[in-house]
Amino acid sequence: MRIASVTISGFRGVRDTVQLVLPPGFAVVTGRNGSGKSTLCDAIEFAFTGTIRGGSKHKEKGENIEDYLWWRGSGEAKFKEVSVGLVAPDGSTFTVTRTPDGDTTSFGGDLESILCDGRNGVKHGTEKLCRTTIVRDEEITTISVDLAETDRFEFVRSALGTVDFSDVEEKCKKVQAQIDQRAVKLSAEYELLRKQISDLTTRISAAKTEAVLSPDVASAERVLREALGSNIDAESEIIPRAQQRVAELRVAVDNLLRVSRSWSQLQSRRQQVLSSHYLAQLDEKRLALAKLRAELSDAEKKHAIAAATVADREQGQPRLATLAQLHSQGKRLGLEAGHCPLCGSTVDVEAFDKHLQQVAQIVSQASSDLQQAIKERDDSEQAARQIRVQISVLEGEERTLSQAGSLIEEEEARLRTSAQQYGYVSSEDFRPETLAVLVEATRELMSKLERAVATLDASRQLERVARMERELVELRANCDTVEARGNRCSDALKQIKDALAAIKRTRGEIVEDQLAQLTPLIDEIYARLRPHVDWAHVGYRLRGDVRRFLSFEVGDGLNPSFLFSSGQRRAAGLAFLFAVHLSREWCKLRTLILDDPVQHVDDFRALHLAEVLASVRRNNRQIVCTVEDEPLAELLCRRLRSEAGDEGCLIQMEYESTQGVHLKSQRRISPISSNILVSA
Amino acid sequence: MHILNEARALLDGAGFQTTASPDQQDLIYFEDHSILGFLAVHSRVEDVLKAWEEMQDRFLKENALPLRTDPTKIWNIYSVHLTSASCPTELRSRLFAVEEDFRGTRKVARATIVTREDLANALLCLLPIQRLVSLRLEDVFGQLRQRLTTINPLLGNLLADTAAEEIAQKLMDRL
Repeated sequence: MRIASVTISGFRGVRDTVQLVLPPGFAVVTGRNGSGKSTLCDAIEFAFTGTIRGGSKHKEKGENIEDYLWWRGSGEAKFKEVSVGLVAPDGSTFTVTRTPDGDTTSFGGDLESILCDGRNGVKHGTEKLCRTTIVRDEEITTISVDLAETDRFEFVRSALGTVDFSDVEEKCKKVQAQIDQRAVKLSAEYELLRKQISDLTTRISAAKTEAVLSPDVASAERVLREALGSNIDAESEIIPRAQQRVAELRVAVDNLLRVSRSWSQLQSRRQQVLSSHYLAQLDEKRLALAKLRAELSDAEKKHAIAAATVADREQGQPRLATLAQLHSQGKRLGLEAGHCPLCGSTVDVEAFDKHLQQVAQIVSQASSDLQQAIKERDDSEQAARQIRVQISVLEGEERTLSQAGSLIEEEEARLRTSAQQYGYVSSEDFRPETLAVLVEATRELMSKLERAVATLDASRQLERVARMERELVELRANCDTVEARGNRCSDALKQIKDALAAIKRTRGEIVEDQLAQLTPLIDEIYARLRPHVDWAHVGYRLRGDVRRFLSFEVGDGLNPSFLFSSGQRRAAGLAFLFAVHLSREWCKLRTLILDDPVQHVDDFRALHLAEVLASVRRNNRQIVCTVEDEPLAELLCRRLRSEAGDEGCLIQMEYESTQGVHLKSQRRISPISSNILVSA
Repeated sequence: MHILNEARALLDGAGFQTTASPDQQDLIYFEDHSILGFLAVHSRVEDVLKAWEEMQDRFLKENALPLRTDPTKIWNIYSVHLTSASCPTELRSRLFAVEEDFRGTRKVARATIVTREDLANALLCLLPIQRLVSLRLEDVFGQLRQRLTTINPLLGNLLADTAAEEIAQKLMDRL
């Protein structure tokens, strides 16, 4: 499979349309910077993969190369399209076209199936193919000599199309995750069981200690059955019933003691009530009460008189009011021409004033008398009220004293009933001594029952111990089972880890074997390029068991990455990339594309590169090579062996502001006539 | 090893036509449709350094007329100078400088040509790729299966259609 044509419209530096027909042999593309040489490489990669430069992540101001795929210069691009035509050895043709809207193929199938041989298990083959088919100036060393050791190993692995067992590895990791999850569960289960065993062991130890302290079980059971009656069938009921009985007895003792204390206090009170002092006190209260009642009678009489006086005086109030008005009018009017304004009698001033003064005195006296009467009425009422209060208090005290006896008797009756409720035998003559005997007997019974319960409970502990020990055995067995399962998980995990390591190791060894096969070719191309006068051969070194590292060596273990100049590293990198390119069994595309591979390379080594490309050409490869230098382009055209049926061409690209990148010229390279010396 | 005979064999094998010089014993001419030139064998490095230029000029002079018939091919003339003698260190740069001289012809000047491999290395620029390899994958899955089943026969299921869950269960159950 070779590239037959490339059509570029509105892509990268091409505004209009550039159509290149590539001959089966080679195409040397030349032009100044910006003339579209790299755009040609970009177009081929974009047509194949839909991206360029490996989908570079380089960003500036939020933009990356993807934002500049299509024409962004002045003027409008009429079309935006990249199309690559391919031709198979049998002459059949295929075209892949990409526009901003997506890709289409002329054959309606998957491009990868055209370019790659799927039998080798290569995934994402088109992208991998591009990495060793399109060799860009800036990538020559970065993807070869300058690549980190592990990345270089991975690069070689993917470029060679080695099976990477990724499906197997993924499945292995899933198995690992499953077992891991199970192991975590089992670990938690084991911890729980261990805790249960620990708790149970503690409980067994405590139960055993309790059981040892209680020897006479039969006697205890007999005591309890006697105390509780014989109507207990289930043995399991004995202890709860006994405990209930003990509780009842405890309540009875408490109550009997309270009755006893209350009875004593009551007897003391009775003695008090019957004492002469108490009776004298009662008499005293009654006398004081009689005296107060008499005082109240006097006070009420006095109040009645005062109230009558007030009423009487208040009846004269209208008259006094009239007098007061007269006095007021007379004083205001005064004498009217020697006559009294009220009665018109002739009177002199002195007599008139004297009359007014007398009226004022009468009004004043009457008012004063009324106030005095009101005060006396209120005072008498207040005194009567106070006496009533004193009487009420005294009556209460007298009642308390006189009723004390009957209250004591009522309380005695209540205490007697309470004592009977808790076992005191009914008797008219209540005796505290008998009550004390009853309390003591109840206490003794309670203690006896408690001991019996403890004894019987302890005997039950032995049974419980036995039961718990059986439970412990089961728990330990479970724990052993879980532990065994956990150990199996650990072993399985270890085996899975070994399996993963085996997958990686096998993967590495396959690459190692392939690299071993590839080494003579790398060394040959290196020798052809002759990057260094002293180090004529290059080798590689692999290290690491699971994670593999690949480094190049020249001489006695020297690393060209650090030893060589940039031009020499470039030559070494090209040797590596060409060797990988030529060895890709899985790749059906027989085209090698180089984008300006001679930068930083001197003329001597550029000549070597041309010779290497010529030898690659002889290996039935199509070469597309861009160079800026026109003499070098001519040299390449001469050395790349244009032959009949396998011809080459020289393409000149150009940039003009008015039309962007365009094709300046395309010249067929005629095959060289043979046998100059022979014919001579 | 007779360098000249081996060189002729190599060049013939690479598609060149070779002819012996009628008047010089250690000299042959070679040519294919793209390249032409001569190959001379010398006794010592000093002889190479002394003779290369004179031999080149003579070749160009002698073949000037036919070379004019193809102005393109005239750019693809090689002069190869070989010796089985080893190169003294002090002469190494001078020998290398011969190759770096672009005047007239493309020069190949090499010493210590003792084995056929040395010769082939010296003539690489004239030969097609010599050590092409076709990397084929052997039974890599069989190789991996062998390794996995050595760890545990059940792990062979990783390469089969058996689901991961089933493999995990079997591993935990049967260990």
